[in-house]
Amino acid sequence: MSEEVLVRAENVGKKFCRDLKRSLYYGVQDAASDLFLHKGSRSNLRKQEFWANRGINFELRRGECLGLIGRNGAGKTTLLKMLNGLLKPDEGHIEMKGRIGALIALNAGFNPVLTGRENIFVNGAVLGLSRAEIKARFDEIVDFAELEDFIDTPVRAYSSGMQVRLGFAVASTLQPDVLLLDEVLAVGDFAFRQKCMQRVKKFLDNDGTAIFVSHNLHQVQNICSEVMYLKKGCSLYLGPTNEGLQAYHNDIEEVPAGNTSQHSQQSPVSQPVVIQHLEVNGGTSAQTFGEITFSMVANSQVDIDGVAAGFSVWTQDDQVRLFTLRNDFERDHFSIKQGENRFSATINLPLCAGNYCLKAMLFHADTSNPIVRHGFENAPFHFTVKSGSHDPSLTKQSIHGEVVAINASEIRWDRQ
Amino acid sequence: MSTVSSETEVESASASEHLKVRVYDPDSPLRNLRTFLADAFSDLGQCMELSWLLTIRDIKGQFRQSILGYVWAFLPPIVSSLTFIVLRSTGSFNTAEIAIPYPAFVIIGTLVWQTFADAVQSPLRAVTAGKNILIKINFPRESLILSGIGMCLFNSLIRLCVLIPVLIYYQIPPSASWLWAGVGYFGLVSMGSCISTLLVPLGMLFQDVTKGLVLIMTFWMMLSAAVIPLPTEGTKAQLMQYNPTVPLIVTTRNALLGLDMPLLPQMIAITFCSLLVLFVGWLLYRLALPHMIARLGM
Repeated sequence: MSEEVLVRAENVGKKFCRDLKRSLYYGVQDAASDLFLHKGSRSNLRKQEFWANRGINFELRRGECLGLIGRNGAGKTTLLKMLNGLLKPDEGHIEMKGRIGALIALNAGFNPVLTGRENIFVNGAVLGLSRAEIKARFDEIVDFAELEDFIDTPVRAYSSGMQVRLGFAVASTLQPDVLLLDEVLAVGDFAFRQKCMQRVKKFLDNDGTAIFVSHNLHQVQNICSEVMYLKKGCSLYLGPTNEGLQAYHNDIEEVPAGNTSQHSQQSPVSQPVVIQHLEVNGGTSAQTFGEITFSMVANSQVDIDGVAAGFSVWTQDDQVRLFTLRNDFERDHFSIKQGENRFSATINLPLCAGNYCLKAMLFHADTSNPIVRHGFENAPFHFTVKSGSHDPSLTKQSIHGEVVAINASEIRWDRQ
Repeated sequence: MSTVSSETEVESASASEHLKVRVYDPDSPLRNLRTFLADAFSDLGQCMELSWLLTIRDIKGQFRQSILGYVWAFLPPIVSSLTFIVLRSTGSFNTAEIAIPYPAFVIIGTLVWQTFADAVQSPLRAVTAGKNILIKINFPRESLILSGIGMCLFNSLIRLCVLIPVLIYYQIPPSASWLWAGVGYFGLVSMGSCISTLLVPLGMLFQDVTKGLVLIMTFWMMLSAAVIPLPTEGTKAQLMQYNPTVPLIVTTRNALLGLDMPLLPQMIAITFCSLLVLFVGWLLYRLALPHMIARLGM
């Protein structure tokens, strides 16, 4: 990692106005003051104004990736726009070195009645690629976007996902020194998102510098070397990713962990076995790198022999399964007795700080046919992993690395 | 790349690389006039290809969803010419005696006027239509204005195709003075664009500008000798004396028809001034844009 600073922000601030008419008037006022050689900060708040960003300080060197996290309206995009030179700061000073590439608003330059082919050239030119550069990479762009069959179709016939794919394919052919990414990896289908992510990772591996805005904290954890947590325009935290995510989690009042409605969602009448209750470490939270015990309480009206149990952990959005634990049938031969049954599994789990979903199931060990499932058809159980004391060498690992670690760790099953 | 503030080439710390450094701060870029101008011209140089592509995009796009296509470029002035021809033939309105047939006079007049009217609206329209990319992508923004001018030039070229049959029909022989008509066309486009560019910063914020412009243009046409010959006396004559489009339109038409061009010096002076104002308008546009973008939404 070189010591060359590519991005430097010193005490940066930007004001916006809540009232439309007044805001327009202020725009004219500010432009006029520039005409009369305005100098220095515009620090006084006029009527109805507020700070969208204030007191932002950071430096980014070659090879570093900064994640901007925070709730909607925290000032992430405003900061990104100032760094991109679209907005003029009202306070402070920004220095950007090298070619800036922005993956923001990927389909902004498209003319809907023109074909994909025509739009590639225009969009590329808007982003600063020369005609020759686009021509040279045309096939690569179409190939990446997977739009060979539709390249001579007007763009307005494209689905929004297809438009974004084309936009990403064009914009990502830029070879910038600093890359600005605003929520762009959140669109498109899953396969394409993975492809985009790989492209961004490749850029970072080649000593690229990036600033990444995302609400997908797993992605942030995956690619960012540090994060800035913005709240109401101010930076509450700047530093290593895991601690930053932790600060974010501790600060926001998320969807309350646990799931209060789970009891009512199971219909106890029709099913002989019902999973009544899930627990993580006897509650709803665990510490990173500590022991974690997943438990389920199942109520049964019958006795069943040859039962297997399983827990699976999913990402917070209930979209991606991270891993599943199931017992070794040979060793742990479980059975269900009439009444209350408790199954738990304990592992040494280096899950990253964050929110997750837990689902559980019981099934026949021989046929693998489910007896009862919880969290698949009904709402899953939410739990939180808070960052605790841990081996710092592990913090650099991505979520993928940690899943591998889970597979290697020993699972102790208990049946009570 | 265009920037909000100053841009300087600075040798980077690592020996082999020369990375451009951009600085963004609250100071007026005019405080460092040299950098401001250097950036402006460097962007202008860089954006030619982009402007060309945007112009082509808009030209291709403008009539793609229509059956008549490019006919729409000259249909409106033809129809308004016809209106005046019909009105005059029914005696609803009168003009002073003209040396040439009135239809030739009015068709040439409206076509020439339409070029000016287009030039006033086209850059403003191009920038307003480009709002989406303006607020999201940093690119040389003068390319939007240039593409607006390019579009207007293209449409007036199409209108020339109508002009030629009119000139042939009325047996007006080609002459060297057609060169002055070319200068007149250029002057009309320059003047229209300079007005448009000056209006862009305000026009982006307030819709009153585009709405008001439509009203003013209709009124302005009546005072521009496009459909009536230049009166020699009366209030109208006095008003028209101060109308800068009059020398441009009258001289362009007279040059095409091979008539005398008494207002030629004024036309040259106005063209020159327009170019100067266009230059100033361009710099104002660069200065104001970051403030406008901040007010246009995220």
